Amino acid sequence: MATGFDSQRRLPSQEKLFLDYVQRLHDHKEGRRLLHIHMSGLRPYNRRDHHLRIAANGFEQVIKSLQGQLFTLASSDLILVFRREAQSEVETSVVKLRFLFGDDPLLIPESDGVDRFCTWYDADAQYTDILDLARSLVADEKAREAQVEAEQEAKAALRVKQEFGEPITPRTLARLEEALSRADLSNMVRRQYASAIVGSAAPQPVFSELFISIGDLREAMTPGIDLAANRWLFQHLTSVLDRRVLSLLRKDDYFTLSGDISFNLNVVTLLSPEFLAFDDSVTASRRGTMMVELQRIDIFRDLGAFMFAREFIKERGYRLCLDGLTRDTLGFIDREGLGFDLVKLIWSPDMATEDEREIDHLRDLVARVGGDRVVMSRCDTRQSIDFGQAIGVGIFQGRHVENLIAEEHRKQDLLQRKRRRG
Amino acid sequence: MEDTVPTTHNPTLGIAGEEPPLVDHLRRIRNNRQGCIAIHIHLSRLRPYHREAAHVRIAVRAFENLSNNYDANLYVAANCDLVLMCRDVRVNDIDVVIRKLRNLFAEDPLIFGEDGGRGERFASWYDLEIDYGLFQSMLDDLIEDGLRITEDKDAASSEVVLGKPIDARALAAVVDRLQHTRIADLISHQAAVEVGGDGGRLLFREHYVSIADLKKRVAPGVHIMSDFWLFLYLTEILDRRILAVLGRRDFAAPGRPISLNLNISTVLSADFDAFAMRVGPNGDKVVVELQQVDVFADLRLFREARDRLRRRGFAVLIDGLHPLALQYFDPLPLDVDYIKINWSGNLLSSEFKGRLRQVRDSLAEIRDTVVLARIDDEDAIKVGMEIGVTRFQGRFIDRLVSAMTAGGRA
Repeated sequence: MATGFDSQRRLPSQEKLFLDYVQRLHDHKEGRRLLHIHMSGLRPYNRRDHHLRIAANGFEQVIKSLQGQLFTLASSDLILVFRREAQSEVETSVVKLRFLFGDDPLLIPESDGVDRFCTWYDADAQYTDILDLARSLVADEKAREAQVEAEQEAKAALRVKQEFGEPITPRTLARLEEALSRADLSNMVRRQYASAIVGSAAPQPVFSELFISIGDLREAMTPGIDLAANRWLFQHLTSVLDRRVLSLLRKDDYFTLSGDISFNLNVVTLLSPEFLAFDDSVTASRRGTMMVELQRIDIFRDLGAFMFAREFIKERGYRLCLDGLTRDTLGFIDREGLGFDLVKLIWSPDMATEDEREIDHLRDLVARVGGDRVVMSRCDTRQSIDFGQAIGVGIFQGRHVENLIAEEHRKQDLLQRKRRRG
Repeated sequence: MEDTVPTTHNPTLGIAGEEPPLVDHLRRIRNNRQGCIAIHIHLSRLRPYHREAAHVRIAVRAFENLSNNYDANLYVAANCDLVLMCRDVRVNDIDVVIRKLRNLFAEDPLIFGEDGGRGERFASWYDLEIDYGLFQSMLDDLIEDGLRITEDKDAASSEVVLGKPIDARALAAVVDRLQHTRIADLISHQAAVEVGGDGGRLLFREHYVSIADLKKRVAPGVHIMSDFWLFLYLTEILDRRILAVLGRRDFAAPGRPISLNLNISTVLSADFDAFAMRVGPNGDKVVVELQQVDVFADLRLFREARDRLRRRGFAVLIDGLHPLALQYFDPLPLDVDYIKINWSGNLLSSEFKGRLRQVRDSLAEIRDTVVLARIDDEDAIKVGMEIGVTRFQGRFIDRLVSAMTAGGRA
């Protein structure tokens, strides 16, 4: 999977290990040699997984006899550090490799006589060169990783952009509302899990949010219209959707959903007859498993109305979540004072920073709200979760979290099948 | 004929509330009043914004448990007061419900203004074994009140007065009309002043379009304020029209600054650039008022707009702040020139006692930027001064300013 999030990536990279090793080598460099095999220079058809495996296996004996250590770099280059005593054995292996890749242009000798497949170093004489090599490898790897992340973020941004179109107008909104009154929205309801993620362990679902996918809605009813182009018309649209969500939720299939659920509503909706009817249809015990998400913009619309609605729905037993916080607004909010059980912090790529002071600041803000009370939402990349964890967030939601959950399910399936077979 | 019950004049006939069944209920128990209690809950004494249909519905809901499990009935009067009639119900169980109601309306001066007494102003208790007569006469008053309200309501149902609630389709039509209607003559203004030891000084004059006038001209029969978000969309269209009109002013002429309300999206638009060009180097003559809901919708856009305004020399004001809001966030980092707080004109200082210190504390750091708006009488200024505010705006200030102008001082 392209967005594959494997636990290995959280381990120190081979480049980093190599650098550590080289630094420790400083006092033991006598009699050591180093071989850098430029696998990355081979043609793509020559560096598939099995080629790399065969190449690495060629040095198995040296490694097993504790005469050498092999590093497999992300670029697929190999680096072998070995004792002088193993020189001939290593050379034999290299000959085999040259034979194996004999058809590759990389191995065709050039007039200058430079070997572009292998570079040899003597640790004693060329220690500084080796150290430079190790450092540049670490730097390259960092840059490469940053680029992968940037690409992931760019892809995520592109997905958002593709959803743009003609800006919504009162007329298109009226058309949409009319269509909505006749449409069956049940197939547009999406469910996304907010999950606790600790370190690189598998996500543990805390609750799931039910929502109507605006993208699907647009696709089906107003293709080519950017529904979010005008903030006020969009807010109005959400209040129209609220009523539809409530009537959908009253259907049995949603009541039998397992686990705690959450859904977005406007403050005005909480005071409407539709919500009272919904409330009547929910058993008291079920209310405790339901959380109402309110938008930040909506509670500031009329704080008095919010306070009244809050008292009402808390008294009925529902829980409350404040949605739509950003890095900028997290510090403004007194979660406890406003009476929210949870708050949602929207991830955006520009939140990521390496500035330690900024990270400390964010960590403080999260701690003040309560790390287990903050859900980082719209986590579409691995980076978002890494950063969230770094600032003390405990719960995550978004496409990447969904991927992780799916991956975990596949893993469990596989294990089960294995067990059955075994 | 003689032995049938005579049809008496029914005083509750035609009333909009549940007074008739309440009267029946009282009649039924007249001869067996043991264990009967009535509680009259004065929702009609709450602020108007706390006794809309939604609030009453939710307040009624609080009694469900009680009426499902006990001999207890709730009646909603025409003036939206509630009357609970019950027999053999533990006072504590009723008290729990009344407390819930108090929590719901905790932000109403009726509740937080109570002096820790028995809270008679919100709920009155009647032991019907003893207070039957008293309750009866209270009920008579309630009915009289209800009949009057019913009559008024018939004459002035909200749809007749305000028009049909707006929807997207109606909005589209209103927008079309607004774009092709003259609005220059609808612009009114109101002064904001600073009060100091040496008297008053005019800060700026807010220029605005009265919504009632606007409605008459472009949206007759439509309740344009009934949907908050659709109304805000309308203000975006209005912004452009107002900018075009005010852009024709001579900003180089001497005089105090004007203020105008704009959406952040407008400040970031090309129309605004055109306006700013006309203002030119006289940016200090313009204060731009941004709505707090707009500010909090996207702080980054707000900052962009604020910085843009500052570069032009304009002052930035955040409008529409709820006095409560200060308890939950600190506006200092927003870094603006003025913060306008809407005073509920009828918050008398006696009701406010307990909160005065709290508000004064929350104002401590931003006091120099605060403009207290909706000052309708002298009392409001007094309360304002007590919490250390020196800048005011409102109908009362308007009267002061015109008196000053008449005296040749402004």
